[in-house]
Amino acid sequence: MAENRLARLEDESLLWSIIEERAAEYRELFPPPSEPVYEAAMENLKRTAKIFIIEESKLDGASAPRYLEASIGLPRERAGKATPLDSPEPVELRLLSGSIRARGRIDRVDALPARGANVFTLWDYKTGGTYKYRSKDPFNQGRVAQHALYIAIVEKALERALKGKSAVAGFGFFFPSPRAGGERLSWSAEELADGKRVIDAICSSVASGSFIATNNCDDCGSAKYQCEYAPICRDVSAVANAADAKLENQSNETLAFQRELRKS
Amino acid sequence: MTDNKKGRPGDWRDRDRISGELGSTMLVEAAAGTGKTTNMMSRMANLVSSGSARVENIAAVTFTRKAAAELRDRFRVELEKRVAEASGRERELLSQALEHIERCYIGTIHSFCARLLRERPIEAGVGISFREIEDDEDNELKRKAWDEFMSTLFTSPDKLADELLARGIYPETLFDTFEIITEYPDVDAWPVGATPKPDFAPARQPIMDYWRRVDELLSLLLGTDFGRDALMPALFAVHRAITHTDFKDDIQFAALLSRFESVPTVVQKNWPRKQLALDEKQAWANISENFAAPLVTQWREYCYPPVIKAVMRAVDIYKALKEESGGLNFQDLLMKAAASGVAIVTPRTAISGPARLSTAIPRNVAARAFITGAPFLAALSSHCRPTLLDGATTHFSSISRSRHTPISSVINLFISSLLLQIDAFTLLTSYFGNYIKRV
Repeated sequence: MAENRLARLEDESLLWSIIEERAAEYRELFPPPSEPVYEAAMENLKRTAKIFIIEESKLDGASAPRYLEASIGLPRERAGKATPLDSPEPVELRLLSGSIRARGRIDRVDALPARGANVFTLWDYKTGGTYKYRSKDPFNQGRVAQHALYIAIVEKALERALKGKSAVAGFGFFFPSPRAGGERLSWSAEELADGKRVIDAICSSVASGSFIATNNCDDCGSAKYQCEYAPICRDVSAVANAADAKLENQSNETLAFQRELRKS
Repeated sequence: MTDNKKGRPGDWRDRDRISGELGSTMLVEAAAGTGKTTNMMSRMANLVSSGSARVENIAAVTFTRKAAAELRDRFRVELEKRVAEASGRERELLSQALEHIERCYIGTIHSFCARLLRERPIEAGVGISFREIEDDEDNELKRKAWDEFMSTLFTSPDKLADELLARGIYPETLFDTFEIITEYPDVDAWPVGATPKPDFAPARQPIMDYWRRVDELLSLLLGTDFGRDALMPALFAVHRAITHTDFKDDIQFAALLSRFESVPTVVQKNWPRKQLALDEKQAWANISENFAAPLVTQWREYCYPPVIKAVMRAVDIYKALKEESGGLNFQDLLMKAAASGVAIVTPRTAISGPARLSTAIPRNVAARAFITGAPFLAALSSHCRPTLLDGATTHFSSISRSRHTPISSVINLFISSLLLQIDAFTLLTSYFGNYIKRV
């Protein structure tokens, strides 16, 4: 794809033909139970694509796609234009209490022409709803760290690839599904500055070997979309309350990192 | 007992009637904390001490295991206390009761029904070795039934799946509706009137005009901290949604209108101008009342028949699987006991002639039946006939606290059968905790 923004009118028919083509391939692999099912799924897909195009056109070149599906520390998933950020080697991230090797496939790295050369922002496409990401705390008590982690990964990958001065100015989730209505939730790098501490607490908690259940049963989903492990917990509310009591217990040092995330 | 006796709750006369009028059948409605259990226990002890009934002729029924356990403990303590204070014949009766207290049926309504059914399985039409199943197993059966339903839906000759999809309903999203309906087996019919597809044409231009209004407004709101105001983010969302909607597509247009069903909260101080907040709230309310609410309601009524048809098919599969497994869930216990006739008695015979629960069914089922914790009045006044799917949950939850109890079964069992003739209706209004503190 060119580096310019998708032009709505020009690209709509092109996008339809790509969707039809790919859907036909998948139809061979996974035959639908009936024609109306296939049509309903296609309708949903096309509505998503339409929302995508409309919302993209609103950006009007202010954020121009530069690298798509940059595969950092991972093999490229599909045939497509490789990006300078691609590398089979993960990047090393320094945290407060050590370092980790991280990898990820970044949906989109956009250039921000108004911010100067080699200043970028990241976009991640989400097929579901916005609920989990809506918290006033961008990290939602340690539940969301993807934005900060991706910024750190891409900063390292840019250093490695471009050798010169570069910066990642922000990160956004884009929800083009009809249910989420094309909403975008985005943060500047400054707003995510606390990310390293959050990632550090998450990693330290894993390293400590203590895996406590969530202290909020909202994490376990509704009756309709329940976490698939809920049958193991059985009474999820009782399990969450017990976890909360453990986190409240300051003398339980094993849970210090989880406490930092959930109780600070 | 006199009117001017101090330290009593305002409804002390009613309380005295409950514990003292042993020849009457009473229906008592009382909220949590008003002292239902205390009064029931006192009545039970009086039945014993007066010689009106022996413990083995008393059935005390609660809705929860916890309440049953509490009642059992408190009844024992009450009898012990009275034995210590009584003398003569009364003491003898109370001592006997204490000695045989385990013969008194104090348990949940579900175990009470299970007991009836075990004694008369043939009449009740249940398997001799039926099992009472807990929620976990029941949920597993539901999930299995749903999977079976989904696996056959798309190949069924009546094209039901197509009907649903033509209304924008993905069959897999109906699982929660299916679960709701399985909770209410006593609703014997789910009437489905044929509602025509609504005509959305009159709403299209007003929605387009509204979009223009919002389009002009949004630049004023950019960068505003919404705080707790819900209207501002809703305006951004509907502005986007309108641009994404094909107005000629009824499914999409209905989804768009449903965004206007309720009026979002407005926090005036968060707006650039307070009057602007009020005006925008009113503009939204106009769309909501004049177009969204009536048209979305009609759209849902139009969608309702195939939804119910599909869900009832899954319910039938679930019932078959449950029967095959020999399991009865809580609702089944109530329904079967009520429908089987094992609980049918001639009320006056039963009430005037206490009999053993274990031997005299159905002629003399239980001399004294009490019930605590059931929202009786609400149950009596509501017979479930929801006409709208979205309204169903609210409608049901209002009449069914505690476990999801099939209310009409309870009515059948305890009012039509055991307590057919209610001599007195009593309402407890005083919070009993206050009374105890004052004393």
